[in-house]
Amino acid sequence: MKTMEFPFEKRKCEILKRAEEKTNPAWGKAPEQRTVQELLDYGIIVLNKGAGPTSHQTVDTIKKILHLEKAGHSGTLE
Amino acid sequence: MTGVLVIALGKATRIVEVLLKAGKEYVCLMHVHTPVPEQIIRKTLSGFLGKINQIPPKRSAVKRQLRTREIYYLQIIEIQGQDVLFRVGCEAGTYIRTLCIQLGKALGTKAHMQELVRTKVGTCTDKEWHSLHDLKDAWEDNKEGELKKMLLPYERAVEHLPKIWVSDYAVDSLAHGAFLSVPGIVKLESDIEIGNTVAVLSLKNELIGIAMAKMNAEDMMSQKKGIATGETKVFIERGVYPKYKKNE
Repeated sequence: MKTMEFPFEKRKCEILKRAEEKTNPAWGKAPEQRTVQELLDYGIIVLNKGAGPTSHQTVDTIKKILHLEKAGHSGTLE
Repeated sequence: MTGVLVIALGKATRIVEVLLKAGKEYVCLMHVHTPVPEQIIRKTLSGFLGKINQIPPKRSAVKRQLRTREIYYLQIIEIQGQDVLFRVGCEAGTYIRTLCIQLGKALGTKAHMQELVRTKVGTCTDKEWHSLHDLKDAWEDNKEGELKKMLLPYERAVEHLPKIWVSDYAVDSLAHGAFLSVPGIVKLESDIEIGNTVAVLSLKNELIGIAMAKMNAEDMMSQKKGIATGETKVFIERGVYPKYKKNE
């Protein structure tokens, strides 16, 4: 069976190191350590949109639930 | 149509621009209008890979002119009489409704899209999706464990892009709109080519911004100076990393 892959999944690349440098733990934060509060500004949700509401309505509903001023979606599903 | 819809929250909202261009996967139920032997259906569909030409349908937001889109894979899941269930991976902007019409023609008859579910947007798949209902419940009941599973770091939205990691000292000037110059690069992916849209990350893997590569990977490694990427679409906030002062 042929593999079902996107072009980016077929990339054969390695990570090239240009410098030996460390990051200072005092600045910034690794994404996996973000709190729920922080993710409300720097997060995404992978939603299973059902047949009822439109993509736009879905975003509006999420904004209401999470009390967000801004949110967007990845392309209409209509 | 239903399925994977990725929602970007708050300050991450603009990341949808990247997702709009990312590859998509769908599971489609197509109805063929007249009986066609299964073998012919299988043979014809297997030949529909690579670049195809499409004119966007009447009910679309884009200009109705001929454009090329790529089908990355097309696999038949099941055929039941004149109903064909298949999975298709394709370039952003491919119209599956139009694809079904094209497939019908290629089969020497007519066909239409009966049902469509989107199963992938970039690296976000139906294996990790949640319903609006579950989100509402988790939020209202303050279930932090559940919420942390549903709210993903927005860096997931650029996982499919080639990456460059920069020094802590390059972050703030990038955040202020400076172009990335080679000395700021710590590591990079080896297949980056000029013109690629790349994700510029901190060494903690935070997304700093999205930019277009002005050099290829080889030059980014070997050059001592020069502009590596052009105008950055900045996502990280200013001031998270300190301003780098030379000779401090």
